[in-house]
Amino acid sequence: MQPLYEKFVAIMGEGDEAKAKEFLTSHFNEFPKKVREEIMLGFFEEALQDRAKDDSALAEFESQSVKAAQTLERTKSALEKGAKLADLKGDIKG
Amino acid sequence: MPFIENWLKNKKEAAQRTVGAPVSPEAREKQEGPTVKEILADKAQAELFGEYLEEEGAKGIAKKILEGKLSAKDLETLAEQRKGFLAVTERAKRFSEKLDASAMQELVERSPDLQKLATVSGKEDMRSALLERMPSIAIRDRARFDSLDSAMAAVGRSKDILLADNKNIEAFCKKYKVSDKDLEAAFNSSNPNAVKELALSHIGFIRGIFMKEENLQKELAMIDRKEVINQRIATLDRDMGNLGSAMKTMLSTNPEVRAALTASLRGNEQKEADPRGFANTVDTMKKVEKIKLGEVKNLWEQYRSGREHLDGYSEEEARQEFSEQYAAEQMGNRKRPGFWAKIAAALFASTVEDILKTN
Repeated sequence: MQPLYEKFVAIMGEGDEAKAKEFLTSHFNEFPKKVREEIMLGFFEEALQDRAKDDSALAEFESQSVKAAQTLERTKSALEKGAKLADLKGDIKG
Repeated sequence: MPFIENWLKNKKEAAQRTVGAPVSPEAREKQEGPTVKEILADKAQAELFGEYLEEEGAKGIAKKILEGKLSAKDLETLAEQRKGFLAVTERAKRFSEKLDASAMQELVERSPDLQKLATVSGKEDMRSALLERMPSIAIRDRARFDSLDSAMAAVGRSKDILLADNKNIEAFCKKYKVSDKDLEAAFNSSNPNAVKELALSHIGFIRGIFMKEENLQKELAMIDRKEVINQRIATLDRDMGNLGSAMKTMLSTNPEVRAALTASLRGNEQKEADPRGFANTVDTMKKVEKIKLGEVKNLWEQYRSGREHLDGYSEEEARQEFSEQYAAEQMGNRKRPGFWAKIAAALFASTVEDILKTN
């Protein structure tokens, strides 16, 4: 166990986060159970938080888009009525 | 000895938090869920209840349970603690139900880190390990559990909204005969960024529509000439076709499309400079690089000699508790440690525990 800890200290000392992460995954099965659980939980936590933010942003935008589409449809329908009205006015004048 | 003093202080504070409003045996019987006796008869539940009692500062009672020396007052306290315990484990159970195989699959697909772990550990094993750990997190690390639980709830809420909106988008696209040709062309393009660029342009187009629709109603009230109205209708038809095409992108389950969309939508979020606390942990580790064997053993002996705070602890539990406390002390004992601080502390504690076991 001690050599693994020392290797971890050395990797961390290099200051490269991607390399340190790679160390965690490539030596995953060598870590004791508690550390494995902590690594897994940490990655899971990050993925879940990220997904929650992604999905919330997408859901909010989609809802706004659907509302925008409905507004356009209502506007089109009002314009079509306006066109008919203009036709009628033309008929009366004519 | 600040380490042992701090430890005793924390335990004393935890003990002071223990409040047990008396509950009559009749009232206890009426409460839902397993009784104290039933909890204690189930090994896994009994261990969790022990963790809960310890967290609530009632470690002494856990010891009395093991020794079968409970007083009437202890039973009342246990009955009161049981309610809190059942509430916490129920929340953990609800969370675990949401983390089914498909939810795990979706998370793994979207996280390169989880993907790497899945190759060495297996998705299902990973999920089982998380599920097994969840009740303990709910008991021992409530802030962390709350944060996980609210993220899971947010995913559920968004899923419901997306399901409903997706149906509306599909209906809209069907009505205006919107095809997938833009997206297909992007996927077949020789430009490696074509999908990303299309997703971004669609987001931009929809945002433009949001701005445009604010003025449409005002503009509408001012036009009454048929030619102008017809021009506006033609523009609206084009807009609706384009909007359908842009919205159709949002229905794509392709990870590349989704990543481009969400990156664009979350583009203005303020990003933390060091979200996992890497730099801080590197600094801390530089200060505690070497575990001093002699110092650790001396402290462990001193810790063990104060038997009164080890009441109810086995040798293994005491060693584990000492190692965790020592690691926390060495690593700076942060209130909200980041990812790297937690890993470093867990590895440090396991290493100390290992040293104490073998020496």
